[in-house]
Amino acid sequence: MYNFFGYFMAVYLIVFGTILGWFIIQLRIENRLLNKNKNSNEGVNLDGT
Amino acid sequence: MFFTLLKKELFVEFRSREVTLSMLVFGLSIILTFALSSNVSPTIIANYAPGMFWLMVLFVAVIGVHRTFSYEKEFDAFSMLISAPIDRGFIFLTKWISGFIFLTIMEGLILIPFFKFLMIDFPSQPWIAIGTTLLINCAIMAIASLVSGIAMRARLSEVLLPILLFPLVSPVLIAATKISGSIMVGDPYSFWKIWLLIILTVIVIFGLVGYTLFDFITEE
Amino acid sequence: MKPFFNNKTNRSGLILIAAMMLFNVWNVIMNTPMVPEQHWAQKIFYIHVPSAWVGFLSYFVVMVAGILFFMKKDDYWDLVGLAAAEIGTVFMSLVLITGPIWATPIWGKPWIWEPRLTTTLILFLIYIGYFMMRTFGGHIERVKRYAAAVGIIAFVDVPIIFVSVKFWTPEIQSHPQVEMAQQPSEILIPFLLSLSIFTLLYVLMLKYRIHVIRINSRVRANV
Repeated sequence: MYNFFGYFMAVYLIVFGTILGWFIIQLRIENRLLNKNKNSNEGVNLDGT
Repeated sequence: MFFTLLKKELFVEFRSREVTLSMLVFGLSIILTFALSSNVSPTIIANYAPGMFWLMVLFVAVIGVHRTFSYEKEFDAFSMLISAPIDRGFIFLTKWISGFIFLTIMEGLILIPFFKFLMIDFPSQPWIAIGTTLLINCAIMAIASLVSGIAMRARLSEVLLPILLFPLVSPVLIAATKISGSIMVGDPYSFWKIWLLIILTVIVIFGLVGYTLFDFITEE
Repeated sequence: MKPFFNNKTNRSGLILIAAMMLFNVWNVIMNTPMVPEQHWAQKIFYIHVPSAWVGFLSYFVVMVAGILFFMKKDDYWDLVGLAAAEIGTVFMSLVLITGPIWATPIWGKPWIWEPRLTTTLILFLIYIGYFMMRTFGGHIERVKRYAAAVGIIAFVDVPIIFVSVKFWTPEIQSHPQVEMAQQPSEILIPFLLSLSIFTLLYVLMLKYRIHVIRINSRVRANV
């Protein structure tokens, strides 16, 4: 396209997609870590220790 | 104290000549590789020569710095060194100065093979060329000593040292190539003044940063 | 430890910044002038340059965190340094990816040794070394010190790198929109707006990442 709209779209999609993806990945990591922590903590409590 | 350390470095090397010898041989093989792998006429090689020279110096410096620091690693002499009640910035300074001396010696020996194998003319103003080369060695060694203080005690030290060193030293490489290139063709001082300033800036800044940070880096 | 977005401030911050980013895009599409000969490609400038700004800002934060780590000997600053290094590298990667995409229509070829792109590339390579050292550096206490040192050295080198690259190929002009102050206000104001919004986004990302890294180290300590 002579008006270079394709390049514009590509850049905006890449940048915003990366930022969005970053947040999603961080959320998943956070959930996984907190669940792991919660499970191990519950295990500790059940033992009575 | 400082001079004792420095004397130690130089005497260890003087006894075995391990470092300068390995640097020299490696440098020669790099020149050979350059000569064999270049498919171009002598005039074009003359254009590339400054870059090739400093590239070779950079590779050889990595070898040299690796050797001088791995001395200490061998018998865990480094731990003993840093437990001594000295200013640890001195360790950086001694590594810097001894590295500079080894590099300069190696360059002095390799100069003639370099010019003869690649069939390049000697520069017209030899003293200026020597002076700037010494300064550039100083700059390279400042950064190299600092980085090797960090990289040498890591696991993949042979790989980590060049990976960290080369991007950090790239302004020195650019400046060195420009300076040597200008001197080879006899350009006036004003052409390469800016590059000389860059080299001097690197020496001052990385010298200070290295001297300051070495204390923190080598804490246990 | 609670999720980061359970906190009301953080949640409203996220919503606010998301809204601002959307507004930013709308603003760029609707309110900025169409530059002749560059058309839509020129509008890449409104997020390419702020990305670079955030990247360099982040690396500056790594240096400050390194200095503070050495001065205060507090592990918190190591967390800050790591988070800032990661986010900085993400944005620098974006710069290095969008740079060629921007350059192809403007310059005709994807890569030119333009001073700021080259500085970005060199800095990016330095930080690859940073992350390799974080992984292979050995004992964790030692690695924290080394990482702080590399962060300081890297940013101290930046002005030197930039000056030397700039004079390396003087015939290569910087990307067209260099002289910010001379830009007309229809370009300058949306640009500054985009810059501020990206900075706010960066602050949110940094705080979030520090939070996640902290959870990670606590979980590791528990196990």
